[in-house]
Amino acid sequence: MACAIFWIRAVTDLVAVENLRISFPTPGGGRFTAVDGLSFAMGPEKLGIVGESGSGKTLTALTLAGLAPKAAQITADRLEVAGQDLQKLSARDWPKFRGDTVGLVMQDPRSALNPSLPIGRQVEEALRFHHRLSAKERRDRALAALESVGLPNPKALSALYPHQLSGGMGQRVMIAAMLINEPKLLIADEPTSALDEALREQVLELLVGLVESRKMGLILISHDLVQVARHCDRALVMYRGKLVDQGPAAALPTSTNLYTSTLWACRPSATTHGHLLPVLDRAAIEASL
Amino acid sequence: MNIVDVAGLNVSFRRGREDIRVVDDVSLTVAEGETFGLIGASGSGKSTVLRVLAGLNLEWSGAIGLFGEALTPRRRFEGELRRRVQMVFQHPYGSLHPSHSIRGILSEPLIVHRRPDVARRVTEALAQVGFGPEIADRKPHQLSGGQRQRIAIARALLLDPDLLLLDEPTSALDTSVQAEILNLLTTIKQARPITYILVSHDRDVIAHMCDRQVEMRAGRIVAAA
Amino acid sequence: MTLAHMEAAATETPAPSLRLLRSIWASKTATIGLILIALLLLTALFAPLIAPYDPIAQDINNRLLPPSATHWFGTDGFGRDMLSRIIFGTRPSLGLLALVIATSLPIGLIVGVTAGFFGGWVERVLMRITDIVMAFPQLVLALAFVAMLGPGLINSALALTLTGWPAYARQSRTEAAAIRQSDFLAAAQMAGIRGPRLLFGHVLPLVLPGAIIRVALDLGGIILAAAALGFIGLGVQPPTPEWGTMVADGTKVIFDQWWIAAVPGIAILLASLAFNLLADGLRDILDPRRD
Repeated sequence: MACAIFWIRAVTDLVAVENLRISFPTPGGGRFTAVDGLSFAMGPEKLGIVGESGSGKTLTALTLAGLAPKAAQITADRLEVAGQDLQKLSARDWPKFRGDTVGLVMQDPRSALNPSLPIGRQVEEALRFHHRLSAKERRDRALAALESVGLPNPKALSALYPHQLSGGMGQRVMIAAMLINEPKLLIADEPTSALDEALREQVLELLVGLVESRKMGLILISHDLVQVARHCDRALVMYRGKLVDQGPAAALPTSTNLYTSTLWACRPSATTHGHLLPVLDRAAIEASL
Repeated sequence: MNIVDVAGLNVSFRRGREDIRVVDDVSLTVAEGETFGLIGASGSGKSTVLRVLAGLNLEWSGAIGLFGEALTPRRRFEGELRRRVQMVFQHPYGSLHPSHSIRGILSEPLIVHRRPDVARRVTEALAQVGFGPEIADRKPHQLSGGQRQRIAIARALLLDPDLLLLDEPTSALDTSVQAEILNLLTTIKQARPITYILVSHDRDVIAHMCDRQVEMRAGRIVAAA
Repeated sequence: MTLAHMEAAATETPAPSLRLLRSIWASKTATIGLILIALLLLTALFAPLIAPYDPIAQDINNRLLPPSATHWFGTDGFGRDMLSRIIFGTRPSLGLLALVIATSLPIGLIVGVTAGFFGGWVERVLMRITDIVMAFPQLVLALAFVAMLGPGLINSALALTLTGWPAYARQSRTEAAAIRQSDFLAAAQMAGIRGPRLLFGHVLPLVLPGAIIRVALDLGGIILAAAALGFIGLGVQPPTPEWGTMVADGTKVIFDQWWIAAVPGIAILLASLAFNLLADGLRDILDPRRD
C-alpha cells in the first residue's frame, strides 16, 4: 500500500481529483451523497475503479466526462483532466473537450449510437466537430478507425445501421468513434458487461492494446475484479461513495482490506462447490469507513 | 429416480412466415435431489426449456416426464403438478407485483391452494429466507434487489415444491449479494428434500452450485458433464 | 443476526402515487390546472350558496342589461342573471364529465384488458369492434344517438360514452398484452392464480394508472364536446343553465349584447383550459427525457 502513495506522487497527473463530493436532492427533501470525498490521481496508465452498485463509480466516470445528471451537485477541491479544471468548463466548452481530451465508452453500445444513422456517418461525425477536414479525409480516417478496432471490411460495415450489428461489433464501433479524435483519456464504464463471455476478453484486450499503443490513460470501471486485476496497472475500490482501498491492480486478490478481500473471496467457482461462500460483513465495513 | 425426463424436446414459434426453432431436439434427465445446471449464452434456448418445464410455455413437442408422469403439450399444469414445480425468475424488479404488499404476495398462493394457517406460514416463509415478520407490510419498491430476490425464493418455497427452477436468479445482482443468495439456496437444499434446475450464462455460478450440467447453444445441447 | 440485517437497507423510494403528487406540485402548469379544477368543483358544489340570484328566475323588465354592480355579467334575454347562470352552469358540464368518465373508462378497460390478456381470436374480435366504433366521428355519432333517444344530460352522456370508450380499450389492450409477457404474471401463474383473480388483482392495477392519465388528457375535450352538444340544442334542456346553450342563445344578440355569448364562451374556455393544463403538466412529468 505504501508503494501506492509513491505512485501518486511520481507520475504526472493526467487526472487529479481531490475531495470530490457529489450529492442529489432526495424526494423526502434531504440530500443523498453518492460520492463522498473521493481523491485520486493518475498519469497515462490504466486505472481500474472497482465497486458494486451504489459505490459511485459510474457517477465519477460521468463527472469526468461532463455527463453527470443535472440534479447532481458537484464540489471538489481539485477536479482536473489534462490540466483543465473541469469545474470551470461551461456547457458550451464540454462537447469539444469531450471529443479532444476525454472519450467515454459505455456499457451498451446500442443505446449510445444513433439508431437512425449508418455507423460510418456516426464515426465521421465524431471527427467533424473537432477538425477541419475534407469529406474524403474524414471518410478515410473513419475507415482507418474501424479497421484499427479489428472490424473486417470497414467499407461495407459503414453502411450498416446500429441495430444490424452484434453486441461485440457495436462495442468496437463505439471504441473506434471514441478514439478517432485521439483523446488523452479514455473512460470505459463496464464496456464488456453486456457482451457474451466469449467476447469479453477479446474486446477488452483490444481496448487495452489501443490505449497502450497511443499512450493514453484508461479508466476502466468494472464490477469484475478479475478483469481489473488482469488488465489494469492500478485499482481503486469504492464502497457507497467512499474510496476504501487502492493499490496495484495485481495486488487486488491479496489485499488485506476487509471489503476488497471479501469481494474477491465471495466469487463462486468450481473450487467453492458445496461450500458456503464468504459474505460481506456490512456492519464491520461501515464501521471501518 | 428421475424427476425430469426430457427426450427430443422441440419448441418453435412463428415470426411472420418463418418457424424459428428455439429449442432443437433437447434431451436431458435430472435425478431427484440433485442440482442440475443449464449453461448458455442469451438466445441459446436454455430459459425456454425451463419455461416448458415450468408449465409457462405450453407449445412444445417431444416427450417430457415430470415426477414420473408424462406431460401433454398444450395442457395447463393443474392441482398437485402445479404445486410441485416452482420457479425463481431473473429480474428481482420484475417478478414481484409492484402494487401488492409482501404479505399479499406471499399469502395469495396459500389462499389459492387453500392452505390453512396462512399468517403463520407467511411468517415461517419469511424466516426461512432471513426476514423478520415486519417486512411483510412493505412493498417491493421499498426493497433492494437482493431482498426482492429472497422474497421471490420465499414465495417459490411456500407450497413445498419438489422441483425448483431457477432462471438466472443472481444475474441482476451484485457479486456480494449473489454470494448471499447462493448461500441461501445451498442452505435451503441442505435442510429439505428438493431438486434444483439452475439456468445461467455464468460458468462460475453453475460450477459452484451444480452437481451436473449441460451446455446449450442455438437451441441444441452441445456438451454434457 | 439475520441476513436481512446484514444486507444494507435499500434506499427507500416513496410510493409511486406520492411521487406523482409531488411531481404535479413541481410542475407549475399542472398545479395551476389543478387549482382551477378545484375552483370549478367548489363552484359546482356550492352553487346555491355562491350565486347571487336564482338562475332561472326571469325578470323581463331587466332583460339584456350590460354588466353592472348589481349584475356582474349582466342579464340575458329573459332577464336572468348571467353570473348565477354561469355558476350553475358548472353543474351540467362537470356532471356530464363525471358521467362520461364513469362509464366509458370501465367499458374501455374491460374490453381492452380482456382483449390484451387473452389474445388470439378474442383479441381480434374485440379489437375489430373497437376499430369500427372508433372509425365514427364522435360528435356525429353522438348527434345520431341523441336524435334517436332525445336530448338531455343522461342521453348526451350516453352518446359520448358509446363513442368514447374505444380509446381506453386500445390503450389498455396494449398494456395488458405487454403485461402478459411479464415475470410477475408468470410468477402468479406458477402459484396457480388464474381467471378473475389474475385479471383484477394483477393485471388491472397495472393498467389503471395509464388509463387514468389518458382520462386526464381527454377531460378538456369532453368539456368541449358537452358544450358543443349544448350549443346544438341537444344537451341539457332549458331553463337549466348550460354554457353551450347559453352561447347559442347569445349568438342571436351578439352584436348588441356581446356579453350573453362571450361570458359563457370564456367559461367554456377556462374550464377546458384548466383540464388541459393539468394534462400538459402530467405529460411533462411523464416525459422519459426528463432528468
